[in-house]
Amino acid sequence: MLEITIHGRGGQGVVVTSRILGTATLYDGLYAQDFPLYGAARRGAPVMAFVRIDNKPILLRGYIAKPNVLMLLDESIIEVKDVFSDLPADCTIIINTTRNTRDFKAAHPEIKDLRVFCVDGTGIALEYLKKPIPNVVIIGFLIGITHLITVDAFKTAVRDELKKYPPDLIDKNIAGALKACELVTGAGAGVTAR
Amino acid sequence: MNTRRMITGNGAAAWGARLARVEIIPNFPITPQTAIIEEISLWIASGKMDADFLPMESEHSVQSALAAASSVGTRVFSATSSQGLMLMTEMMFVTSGLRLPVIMVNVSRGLSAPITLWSDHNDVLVQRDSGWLQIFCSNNQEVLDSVVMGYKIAENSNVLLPMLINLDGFTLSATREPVEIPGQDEIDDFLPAYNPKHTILDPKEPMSMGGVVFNEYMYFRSQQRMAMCNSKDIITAVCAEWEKMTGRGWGRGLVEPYCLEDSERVLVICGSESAILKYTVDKLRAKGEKVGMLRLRTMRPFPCEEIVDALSDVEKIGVIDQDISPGSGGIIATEVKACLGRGVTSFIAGLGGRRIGAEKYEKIFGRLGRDVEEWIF
Repeated sequence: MLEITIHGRGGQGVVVTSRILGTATLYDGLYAQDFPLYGAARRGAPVMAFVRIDNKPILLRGYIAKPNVLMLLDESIIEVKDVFSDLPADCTIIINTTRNTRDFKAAHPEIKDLRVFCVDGTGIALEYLKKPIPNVVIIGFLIGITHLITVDAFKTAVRDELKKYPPDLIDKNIAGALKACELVTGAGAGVTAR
Repeated sequence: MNTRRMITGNGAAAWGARLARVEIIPNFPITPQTAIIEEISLWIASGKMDADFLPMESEHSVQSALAAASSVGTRVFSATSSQGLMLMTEMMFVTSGLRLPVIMVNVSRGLSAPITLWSDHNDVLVQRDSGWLQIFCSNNQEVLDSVVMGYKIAENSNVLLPMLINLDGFTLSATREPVEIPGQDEIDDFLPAYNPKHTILDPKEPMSMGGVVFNEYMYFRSQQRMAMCNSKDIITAVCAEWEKMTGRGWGRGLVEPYCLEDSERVLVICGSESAILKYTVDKLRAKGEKVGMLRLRTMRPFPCEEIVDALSDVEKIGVIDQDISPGSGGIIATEVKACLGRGVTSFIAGLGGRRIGAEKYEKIFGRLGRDVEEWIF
């Protein structure tokens, strides 16, 4: 089983990120579970979402405390929430930031021994969508780093989950994500299930 | 044709109602149930579902409208949670007393005060004496299946009782997992249209319902009790038929035994937490520990004979209650003890959605064998 925790702020597409991953997993022929966790939902408030992926039906439920992959769609979450404590030694962290990984680890020594990938998802989103909504682009980075889901399943899942949006916006999101995937392919060596 | 999709427990409840071709949906929003009626309203607005959507001014009126609409022979559905279910209480007894096969989903949520949005079984268990059948679901698939099967059970002429189908707030209601959605043709073959003979308001053939009685009152209650007893066989038969069609039988309909054959220690549980408990049982069994689980799927009728059959040879029994009757104890533990005629270890856990988790279930298995009540914080 693989467990993913996603942090971000209301409006950034945290929940949609978890749903794209869950749906893509189903298209890949595996089992998934995805769910959000929020209090009074509003734009800008901290939001979390979770995904479990397995090759058999998933029995575990509820909050994921020891994720294999931690994704931060908004680095300012670090200032309001302790997201880095008690992470397992095999955790892969993907952070949406303009800082580089060396500087980031220097500022956050608690994750210096973990696999950290600092990626400029918002930069790519601005380039492709003209909007600072980085969620689909960040999934592109996740695919490039971990190969958790296939590109075909990802594309179909994005079309499913964003179907209420205009088709050209969906295409731009996918194009941005594929660019992100290309940038980091080969950077990691996948993640290991526990 | 069957399709497999990622849907929430709320989505599964809505799909169950759609496949059952319900005709009238009186409703009032309350978290975490609202997504069920939102989904249905979207389907009605887009022409995917042919039903009347009745937004009411309170849950009390929702329950009144359910009873009224069922009385004219339509198939009705609604959903609620927590305080909403409490506000329906007065009318819940009317619906069951009139023997109307209403199906309602409760998305369980702890009762105020203080306010919580998370799962807890006190809301649904408050209604245990209201004459409604009660089904507790363990996953989203079971929610969809139970709603469709619910009509076939409730509308059976040997039952004719309303049914509450419980799904746990957030744990199921907001969590997506793969669910098989059966084809409409398949469901139409399984579930014929509702055609009541016992009670129907029709101006051409006037009938009085729920009038004043005196000495007769007790006969009506006796018939309700008999209907509850009859429902056990009907639930088992409908689950068997469903299993033949879909491959999913949900235990024997009343209880779901898990690894009981040679178990020395067993936990009794209901609802979605049972999945985490199964995970724990698998883990402990891999270490050679003889542990098992019995999930109660029906709370009314209470599966007393099935509990005795499953647990009479088990030495150490514990019961997990996500509810509390202050001054008495865990509601389910009290009923299990009455069935078995001996003590069990009663664990009060997960109130207001407080996390239990696999690691705590492991510890709980180590604490069985004492006739005491223990709170797991």
